[in-house]
Amino acid sequence: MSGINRSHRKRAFVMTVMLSLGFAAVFGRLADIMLVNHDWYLLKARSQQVRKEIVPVKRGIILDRMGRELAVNLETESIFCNPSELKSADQVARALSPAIHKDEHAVYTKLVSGKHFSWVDRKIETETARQVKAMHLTGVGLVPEMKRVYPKGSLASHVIGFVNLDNKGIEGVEKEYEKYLTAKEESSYVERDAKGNSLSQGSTREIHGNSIMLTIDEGLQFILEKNLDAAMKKWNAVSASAVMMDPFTGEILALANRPTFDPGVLAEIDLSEVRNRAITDCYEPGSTFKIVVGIAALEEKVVNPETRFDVSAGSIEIGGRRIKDDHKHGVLAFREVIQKSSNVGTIKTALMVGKPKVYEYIKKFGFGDKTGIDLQGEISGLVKAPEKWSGTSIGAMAIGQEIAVTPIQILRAYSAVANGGFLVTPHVVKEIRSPDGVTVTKIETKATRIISAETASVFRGILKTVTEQGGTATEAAVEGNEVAGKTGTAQLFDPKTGHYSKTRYISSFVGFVPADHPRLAMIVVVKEPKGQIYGGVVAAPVFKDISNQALSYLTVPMDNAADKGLLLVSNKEEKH
Amino acid sequence: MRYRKNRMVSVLKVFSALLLVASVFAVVCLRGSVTSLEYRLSNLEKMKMEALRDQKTLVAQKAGLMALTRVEKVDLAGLGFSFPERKRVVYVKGTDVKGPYKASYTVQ
Repeated sequence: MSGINRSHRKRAFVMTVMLSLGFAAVFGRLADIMLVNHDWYLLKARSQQVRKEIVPVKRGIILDRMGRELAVNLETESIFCNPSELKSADQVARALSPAIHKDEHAVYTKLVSGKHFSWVDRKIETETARQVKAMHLTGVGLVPEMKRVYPKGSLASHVIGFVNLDNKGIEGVEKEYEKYLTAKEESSYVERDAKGNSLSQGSTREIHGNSIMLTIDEGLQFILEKNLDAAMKKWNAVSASAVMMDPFTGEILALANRPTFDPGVLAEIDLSEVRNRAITDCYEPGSTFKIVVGIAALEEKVVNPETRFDVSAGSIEIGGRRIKDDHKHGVLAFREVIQKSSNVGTIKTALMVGKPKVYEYIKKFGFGDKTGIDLQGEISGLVKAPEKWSGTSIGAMAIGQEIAVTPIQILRAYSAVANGGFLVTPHVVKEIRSPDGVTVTKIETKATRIISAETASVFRGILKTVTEQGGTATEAAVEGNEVAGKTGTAQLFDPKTGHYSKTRYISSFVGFVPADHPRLAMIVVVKEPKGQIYGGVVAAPVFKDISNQALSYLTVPMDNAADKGLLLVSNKEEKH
Repeated sequence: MRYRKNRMVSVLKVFSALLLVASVFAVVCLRGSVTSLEYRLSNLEKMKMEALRDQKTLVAQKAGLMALTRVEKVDLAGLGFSFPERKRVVYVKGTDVKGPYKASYTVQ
């Protein structure tokens, strides 16, 4: 009996020792996990359960002045591959090629181009993404990416600009306002299970950039572009630009250049078409520049509208160069010098004003300096300092030669006459709004008085006669509203011969309408029209057509609407 | 008396043990419910994101369809969509004059 007891005790002892060792091992391991190597195991667990994800930044949208979308974002997906994980690049290329509509060899090249990461195709259609996902290709994956979309096509492309594949602004407002349109990229931690399914954190994080509201009006832009296209076609011109501005605020209502481009089709963009010629190309303005001498003469009281000039000779010699009028005139009053665009009369006026004052007014109108428009690539043009003027310069400059300006500079100068004497800063952005729609920045009007209201008023009257019978721009006249403006026909300088070309011209017209209460100031510049050269024939009708439709679009009544019975008077307080 | 006290202690011990087990299960059950809710929320968030994506696509499509360039291409002449002749437009101008409605072709 005692032998059995001893045996039982022995077994019990062994069992106790084994169990104790077992528990000791378990507790030892627990202590290792929970106390000794706690931090290391915690990190390892987190790396498996929690994943760091980059929260994509959604670029702010661009709207026209009425809130119509001009640039928006679409969520698309991009295909990437990890070449080291690919089993057979050949097979993957064969499978992907028809789905993404790309050459098999091109796909193969992309698949084997990197070590651990390479893009196969970016920002693909949703349906294509679904097809690729369904293929379950090892080493090939999809990541969400934002795609910039321009729903209006090429409309206002020179103002809006475009972004590259990485959504970085390259041109136009997209580049100029890059810092407002984007936001700082952030990351967040997402809990995931063993299968990779994410667990909600209770909120969806999104980062949006600010929205930009332009001063551009889609309707006016459409009218302007349609007529510019028609002019390009009619005159078989090399290029053309037109800008429409509110003369009181400097807000650009429409701006277009031809040739143009579609910002949504990056692959087809030709860089020469991207150039915003209205602010980056300078030219000799010709007669539209006569405004400087005309205004200087009136402001300095050197002449009055009735001062007589004998221009019957039809030409004038200045600094050894003979400058002619297009048509011979007899004796002209100063207002007629401008109306008929007499070179001789203008040069005689410039000589009366004198070199220092002519230069002073050139600078007062902002020529030779950037206008400050909020777009990329603006140039200041070329204005020679008086000490570099030759004997001919005062005469040449008076009629818009020996000087280089941009269309926007000329438009700004005429806007000063339209608005009563203020030089405004043109701008294309009206306001910047936060993602919640709250206005962050409102672009204020900047204006400096450069001439008296009286001089502006007198010159406005003279410019009105340009579009009336006897003027050079009768074809700019709009039925029902008075137009004030000036034509320009400038010869292009031929670098091969070192002289002005006799076949290549720039035709332009700049003006504002309605003349006494201007709603629009506009310039139309057509480069190298074929068949006709005169601004009054080539550019003035374009101004007329655009103005006609634009005034209708803006519901601006005709000056004589009341006389024609087109004006109804209602009582504002009448409410039912 | 001592017997009754011992019995009470035993019952309390069992009850405590049961309470402990029940608490552990309750915690596990609650954790399970929370995880399940997180999955449901996650799915709903995915649906929301997809709906937002669709909304963005539709906004872009709408903007494209309403583009004047497109309207003109569709059929400007055929649909008779054109800017009105300014001669035929009647403008109504508001006045602050008190009195009955005085709309007429004669300007007051």
